[in-house]
Amino acid sequence: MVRLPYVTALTTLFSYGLLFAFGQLRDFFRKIIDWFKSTSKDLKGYAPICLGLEDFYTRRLYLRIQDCFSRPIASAPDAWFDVVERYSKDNNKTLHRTSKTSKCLNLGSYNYLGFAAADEYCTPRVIESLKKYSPSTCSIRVDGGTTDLHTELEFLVARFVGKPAAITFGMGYVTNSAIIPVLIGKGGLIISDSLNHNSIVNGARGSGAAVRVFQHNNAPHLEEVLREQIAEGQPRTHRPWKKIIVIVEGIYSMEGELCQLPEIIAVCKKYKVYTYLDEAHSIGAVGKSGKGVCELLGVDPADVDIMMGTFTKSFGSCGGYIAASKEIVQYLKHACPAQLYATSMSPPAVQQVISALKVILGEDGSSRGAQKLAQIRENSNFFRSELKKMGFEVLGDNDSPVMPIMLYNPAKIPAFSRDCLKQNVAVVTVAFPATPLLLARARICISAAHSREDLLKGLEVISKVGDLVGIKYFPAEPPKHGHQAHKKVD
Amino acid sequence: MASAVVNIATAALDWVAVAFDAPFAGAVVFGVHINGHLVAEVLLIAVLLFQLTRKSYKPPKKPLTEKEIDDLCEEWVPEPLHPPITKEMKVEPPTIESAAGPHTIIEGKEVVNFASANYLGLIGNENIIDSCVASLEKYGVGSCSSRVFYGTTNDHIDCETRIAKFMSTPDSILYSYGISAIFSVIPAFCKKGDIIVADEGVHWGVQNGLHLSRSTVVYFKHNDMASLESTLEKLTNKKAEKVRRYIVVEALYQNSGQIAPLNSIVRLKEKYHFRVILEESHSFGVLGNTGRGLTEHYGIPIEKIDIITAGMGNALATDGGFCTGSGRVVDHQRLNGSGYVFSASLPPYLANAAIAAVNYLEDNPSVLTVLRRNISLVWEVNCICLLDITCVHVFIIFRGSLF
Repeated sequence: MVRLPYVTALTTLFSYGLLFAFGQLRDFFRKIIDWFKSTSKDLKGYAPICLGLEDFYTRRLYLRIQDCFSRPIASAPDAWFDVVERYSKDNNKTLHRTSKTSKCLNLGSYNYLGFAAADEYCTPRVIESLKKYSPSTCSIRVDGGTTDLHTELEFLVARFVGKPAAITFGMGYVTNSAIIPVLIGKGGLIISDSLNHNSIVNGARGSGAAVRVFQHNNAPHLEEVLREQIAEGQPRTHRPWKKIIVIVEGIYSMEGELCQLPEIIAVCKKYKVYTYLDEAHSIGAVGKSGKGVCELLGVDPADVDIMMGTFTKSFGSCGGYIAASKEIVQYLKHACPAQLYATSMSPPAVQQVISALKVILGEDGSSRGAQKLAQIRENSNFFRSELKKMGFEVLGDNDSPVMPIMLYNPAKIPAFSRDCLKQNVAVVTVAFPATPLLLARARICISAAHSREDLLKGLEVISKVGDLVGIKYFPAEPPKHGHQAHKKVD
Repeated sequence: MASAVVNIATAALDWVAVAFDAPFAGAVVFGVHINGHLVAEVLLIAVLLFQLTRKSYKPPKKPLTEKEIDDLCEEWVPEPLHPPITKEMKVEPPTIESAAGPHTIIEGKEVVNFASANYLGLIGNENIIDSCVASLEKYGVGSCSSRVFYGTTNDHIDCETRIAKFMSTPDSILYSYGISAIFSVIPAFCKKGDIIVADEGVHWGVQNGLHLSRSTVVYFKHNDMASLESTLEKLTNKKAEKVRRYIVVEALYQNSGQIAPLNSIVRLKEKYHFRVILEESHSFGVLGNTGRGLTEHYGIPIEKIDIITAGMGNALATDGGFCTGSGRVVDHQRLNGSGYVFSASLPPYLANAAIAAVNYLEDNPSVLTVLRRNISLVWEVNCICLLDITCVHVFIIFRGSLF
């Protein structure tokens, strides 16, 4: 949980207030200047694309720090990568690429198991499948888009996750948006965690079911909401709900926290409610053999009705999957719009996931999979404990490879990002609207490809920049402990 | 005792009589004399104040007890997550064992493929495969990040520039999945209170985008310009400055195979001041002399269409989608397109395949002549059988070379 000190809250509000006031002042002058200039004839009679304050945030706040986002890269997003340098002639309004790149430590990409770059086992097989099947099938799944690779992948995913059957899609976002409306419709109720991802929110809205929210990771509050809703029934008519689905995520990407799965499953079983677990960030990254948050927290996969995940993060590919009982998967194959109207997953991407799964399961004949899993767990726990010792406010649970560092103040976002880049460490900073207004943060994603030296270099730079920018909100532990840790490494 | 009471009563009556007869106690209302109105008014006010101090009657609220809630929860029986499995649902689609080109292998047999949207025959093209191999060796498969956070490679930006150059527009934006392009674009521009006029026959992706936008959606009859005109006529009452208005059509309808008459649509759009969102998934690379889509087919300058989206999974034989338009339109989506911001970016090898495909199309416009010849062949030969064929793909799917 985030503990926001009063002084920080006041200064952050003051900063945003100042930015807002300046933005309004500039808008006022812009209106005056535009009034003198005549608008072109073409746009007469049309409402502007953005009315009033709709794009105020984009124009006046985001453009100031635009160089901290969308940084292009010129190599694979491995542990070290080349970030393209950009310059701007008009105060960050437009950015132009140069041909110069700087080699930076990658603390921002979702490369949990290190499959992002060319891999010795996966890449030759991917190239072979590319030559055999071409980059795309140009068809929807039911009309010639199902290759034997797709069938093999579905079997493998089902076996890996521990469910009877699975179905795959070409994009993780579409998986959520297209599946939830098929499972539940008008007359049903969706109860989702307050910090769920945008794809789940879109899917819930698109389904037509009623949506209620429960406090993040709070099983007693979920129980309270469930009891109230089942007793009340549908709004106005008070008919009983047709079905209720509770949607949670394995690891919340903005908090780095693990879901309290055992408690939530217990509540759901008690009230005969279905559960939908979105393991986008946790599949392949946590758990002793990478089987996700169920393995880590000791939950039987049979207790979760629907398990969803993506292949983008731990498997270095693209796409998503749903694993559930044979009947549900059969029904989804028949009824899901993403199977009936969207191009099937690209065959080389399918092969990449198959090879990555084989490496993780150890079926490639080596122990690289087990090594990677141990490496990422060790790296995550080491990095998190070191950051906490330095006095940073780090969110998230142990074993989670995602660690947000709180920044709060809007001015610290570009300061932290630019200073880290100057010292060749690439970090990701997140602000409104992905997080609440006052809670801006820098989000570190650790990878199995990071070596201990990489992590130490990263820690050194973050510590220096953290001192400069002033984000060590907690007292640092005395250096004696840090010194011992360094001694152990040497 | 009785006399004292009588005295008090008399005194009270005298007092009341005085009050009634006092000069200010008389009033004339509409020519009617009313005496003692003040007393009546004071009494009335006293009665009102008395009533106000009384508690009003509310039926007692009885919230459910914990035991009652427990009973309700136990009694409640949810529907199963899936409906009963019918024989239809058990049918598995055919599994192909080679590339989805014009000839493909199913269960060991070679068959002619009339199902894939491989309009230009680019599946198996050597140039495209070579550029993909180079990209795979350099970048691996996935981009492992969103476009906003280090998921942008030089190839993505090059692909966007190439498509914009091909379509002669200022800029374009890449999405990582064909169908997500249209259902991210519509909610990015249309909010609650806006008006959208859409064709009845648009495909699921467009319908989903319309639903997510929460705007007022009015449908007109499929490809019927008279119906469109009357719908637009009915909707021109609102003030133009505050309400955004869009017409959403597909260039080549996925569900019916018909082509939208863009010249009429542009004429209507300019008359009634609507913006046009054109979905060109099946017409990009197919219609027009050089494959630039419906605008080239009708000879309309591309600036007249505000937003063009297309999926690249058809003619370009790659995956992903793009949206192109004016600089303002494209910039707006970089923060507001949900499929762009909240999703991982397109794998770099697919962006490379798109660049190679567009280069091929620009260098070999003759492939379109072959495509059109094949289409007219099918129409000639099968003109009667077409009534029986339900799969729309047969109308337009032919690869761009002889078989």
